[in-house]
Amino acid sequence: MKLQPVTKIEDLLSRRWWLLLALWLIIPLFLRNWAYGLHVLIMVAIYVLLTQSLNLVMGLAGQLQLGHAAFFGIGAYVAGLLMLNAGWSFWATLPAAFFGAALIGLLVGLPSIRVSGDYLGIVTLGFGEITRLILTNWVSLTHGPMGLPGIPAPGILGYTFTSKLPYFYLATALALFTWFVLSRLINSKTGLELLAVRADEHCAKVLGVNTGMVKIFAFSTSAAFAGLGGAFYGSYFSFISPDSFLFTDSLTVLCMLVVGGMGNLVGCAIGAVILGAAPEVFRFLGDYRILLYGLLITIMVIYRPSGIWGLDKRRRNTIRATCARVKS
Amino acid sequence: MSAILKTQDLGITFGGLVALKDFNLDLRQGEILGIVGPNGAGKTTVLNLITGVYRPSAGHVFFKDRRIDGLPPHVIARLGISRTFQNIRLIPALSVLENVMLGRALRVPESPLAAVFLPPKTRAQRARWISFAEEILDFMGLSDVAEVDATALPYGKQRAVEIARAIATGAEVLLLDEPGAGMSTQEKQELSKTILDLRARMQKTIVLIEHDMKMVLNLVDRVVVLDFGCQIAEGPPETIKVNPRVVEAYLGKVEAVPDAGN
Repeated sequence: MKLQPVTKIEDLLSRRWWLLLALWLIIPLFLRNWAYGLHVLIMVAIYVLLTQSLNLVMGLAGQLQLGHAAFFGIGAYVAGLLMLNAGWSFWATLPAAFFGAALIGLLVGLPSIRVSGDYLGIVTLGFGEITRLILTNWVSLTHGPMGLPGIPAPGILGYTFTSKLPYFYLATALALFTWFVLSRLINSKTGLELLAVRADEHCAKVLGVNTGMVKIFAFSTSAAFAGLGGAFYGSYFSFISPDSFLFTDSLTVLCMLVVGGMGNLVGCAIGAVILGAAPEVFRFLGDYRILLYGLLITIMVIYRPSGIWGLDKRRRNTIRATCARVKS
Repeated sequence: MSAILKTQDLGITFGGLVALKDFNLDLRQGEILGIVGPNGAGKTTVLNLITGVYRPSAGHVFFKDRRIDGLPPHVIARLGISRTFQNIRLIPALSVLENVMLGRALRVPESPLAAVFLPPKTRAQRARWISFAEEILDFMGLSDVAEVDATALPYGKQRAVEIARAIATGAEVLLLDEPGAGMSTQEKQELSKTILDLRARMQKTIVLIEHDMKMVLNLVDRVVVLDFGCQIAEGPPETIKVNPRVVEAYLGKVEAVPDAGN
């Protein structure tokens, strides 16, 4: 008997995906002098990361999370403060923001053991507001509404990021990292347990799933990746303030998830690309574009509530592709 | 034969309603026990108490001489008690195979970290996990629909998937809550055969809640009859079907009882 791996890169499936990825990586090279265009692409990459991380807790575990932007903010503040006050390098702050947000995510996940549905929505909404209030009022640490200016740019081997192009690749790398890790998590025992909790918590319990643990894990991991994105965001803008992480930002990401498709990482990316780019593409419409945005979401919710590419399009039996085959 | 599952003066009240009282059960290893009774008699309540979904307001539950009342449901499931539901509760968007794999998940020690890095050990473990699930699908005659979405199957097959999922947990005691509900006579016959097979080939101990008296009396070793939360009779099918209290509470006219024909 010999154990033989069947697929090694099952997560990035077919050639089509490699082609799309290559396009995504190459196109910015032609846009290098168009800072605005690059900025939109960078934000889309961060939105992909945020939507996919929110998907873990909402799309998979089915827990209403209305304070996702707060974790993004916590990551940004953890990284920004460590760089400004303790002189940490950007790279060292990434894991700090990741685990810092994970810890807070764990605490926010605790009420989910007892509270569910709309009530959990209110808890998470409140958490987002509390985070904003703390960031605004803890002046000695956060400079309050003045925010944190002058967050240093990342650098590699003596080269400091000055143009948008390296930021683009960094944002893409973080989004791909998130995509990869979440994909592995979703296509695993934990993924099956998460979907069971979402569909029928009572049934999951009777099948031996420790639903409380699973939910807390989802909250914490989801927060961790949002925190990672926040660390990048702070360095990219070099300035953060409590106003950068509002409830409306949580809603934006939630809309991307709903339009793209809950429970499906590809759907998340589609939602983030469409809703991330649309406001910029339709900027000539002025404030009317928000109207368009609302219309799109209304149409989606009425005619395709599962999203463009949602859970119904989930690939089945993915775990099989990742197991060693027993060869006789 | 020793008792594998035992309840002692088990009872629960909801508000002022006594849903179950003084329920004593001695489930012997390898036995098929039927629980019958009219609607609302407290049959499903018994299962909910045993699996830890409800906490009893009186009495205790023992599994292999260990007290299990008060333990959370997922711990009880890990000890070796599993159930199916009266209203089928399969997980949508999961294939039949994945539903059964989910049932097995409690015996698969795969950490999220291992899922991310996928070391050879985890890959090998997944191979064993899947082949175990496939064996159970084979046993239940579901191999040909393994890839299909569980909730897209016809009713009878969904019931079979639920039983497969319960077996996959590795439970020694299976609690089947009206597995024959909504089935045709032919499907019920197949179900009876499956249940007997579960005991003969998988050494399971089974508690069966069922409305179809003919099916129950043909299948089980012993019957417990509930009415309004009280245990009104207990014994082998032959004595139960002539017990006047049972006849009054549940069976209606004596003539209506079909011959069990042992």
